[in-house]
Amino acid sequence: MWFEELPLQCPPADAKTPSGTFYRLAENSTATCKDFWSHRKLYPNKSFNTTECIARSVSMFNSKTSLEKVKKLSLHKDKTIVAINLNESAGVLKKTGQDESHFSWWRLSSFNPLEHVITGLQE
Amino acid sequence: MNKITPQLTLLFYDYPQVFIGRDKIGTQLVCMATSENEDGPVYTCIQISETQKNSLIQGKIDLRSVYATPEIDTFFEAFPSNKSEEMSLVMLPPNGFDVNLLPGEDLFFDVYDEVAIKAAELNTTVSYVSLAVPESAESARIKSSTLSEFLSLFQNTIKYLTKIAAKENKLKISKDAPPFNTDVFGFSMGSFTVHIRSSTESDLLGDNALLSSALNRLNDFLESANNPDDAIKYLQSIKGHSAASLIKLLSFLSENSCPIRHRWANPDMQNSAKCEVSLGKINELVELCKRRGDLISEKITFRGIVSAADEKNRTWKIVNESDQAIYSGEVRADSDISLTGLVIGKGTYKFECDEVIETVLATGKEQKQYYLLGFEFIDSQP
Repeated sequence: MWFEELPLQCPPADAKTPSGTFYRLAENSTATCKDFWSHRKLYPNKSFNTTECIARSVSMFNSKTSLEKVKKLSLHKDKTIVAINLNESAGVLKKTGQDESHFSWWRLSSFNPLEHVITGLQE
Repeated sequence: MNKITPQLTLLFYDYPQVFIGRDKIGTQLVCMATSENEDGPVYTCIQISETQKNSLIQGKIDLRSVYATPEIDTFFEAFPSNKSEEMSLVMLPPNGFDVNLLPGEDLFFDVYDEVAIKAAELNTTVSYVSLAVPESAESARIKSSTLSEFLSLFQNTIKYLTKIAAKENKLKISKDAPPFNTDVFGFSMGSFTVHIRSSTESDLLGDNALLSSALNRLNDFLESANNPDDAIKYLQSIKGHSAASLIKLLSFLSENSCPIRHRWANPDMQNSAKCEVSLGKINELVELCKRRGDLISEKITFRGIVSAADEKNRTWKIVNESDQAIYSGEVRADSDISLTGLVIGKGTYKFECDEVIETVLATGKEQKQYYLLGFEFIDSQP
């Protein structure tokens, strides 16, 4: 059962179960549930020039350095990089976008990301 | 109100954070997300020349410099729409850009992969084929007949590889908009590079999955040509018309002394998939394939009344029971099958044949040739 209702053929067939540490931005110094919502869940009616399947995924980076590029934008400069351990119980990931270290994550509803945040690696 | 359509995403995080788009009259703008409100993200955009765009996407300048020292000192805001990919574009008043919104220094992008960029821009699957024909050595030239023949063979190859992908994935191929149909949309230097795109729109995933699979298989095969034993194994695994189409493509390359480079990408691919085969490897594989006639035909059985048989010319016709169509064929010159004794117009025969597809190069149309491998008298009742 996915955390969000997904369109047909989503996640893509070549998405794989994750394993390892991934990075994402949190609004504040401590991650909250909302930090792991897709932008479709945040903005249900908007078109973002991306596919509906990607709109219902959450961006993750497997490189902290790459995520630091996102923080160079004024919109994100005050956000906190959080590290999270993802395993087969998390759902599936697929490498997407122009950045080699960027992944789209489709989360299983049974997976609570807050339980997997590596607190020591928050900055 | 002016609109902007995003074309190339430079930085993605949940949604495009930085992108290049075009407005209604084709002016290019770079846009970065600078705020979010309850309706979604708000982008600050600035016009950008082709030269500066290329510098930006090739990592020669950073994003900050584009906004800090603009080519034209006019800023805009863009807002995602509720319905389409077009965004509303509103000009900011003079000095309306808040310098606090400037991105940090050293935000460089290096996303220059012309095929991947074109796929993203067109939002469809794109394939670039570079044909190193002799006449292309000094300019983007190719003989019309050579190009026409190549396109016909390439399209047929993609068709058969798509059919294999559909069969393996238990998917039906749409007759109205077959996913293997492609359009040529340009050419460029670099040997003679033909720019080909899917004729159909991408699906929900920004992907034409069957065409992608076919292009992937083509690259896998071309890659395997570097090791002819692997290539033969691959051809054995697919056999028939699909194998024949690949062999014909290779034979064309060999006959035209033409090494090939193939790159393809989907809109969601960071980098195009690439492969390259030298003329030497192509020739080697073509020689091997010539000795393997078994790779290029498919076995087919007809059952029905024989309507004609000509022992002298070694030709025959049979009315096939299952579709009531008349099929004609021949007996190969090196076969010892004799048509003498076949009863015409009476009784039911079973004909085991090789079906070989020949492509009419001028039109790309296919003709099926049938070669009799053996026959059996089944029933005396018509």
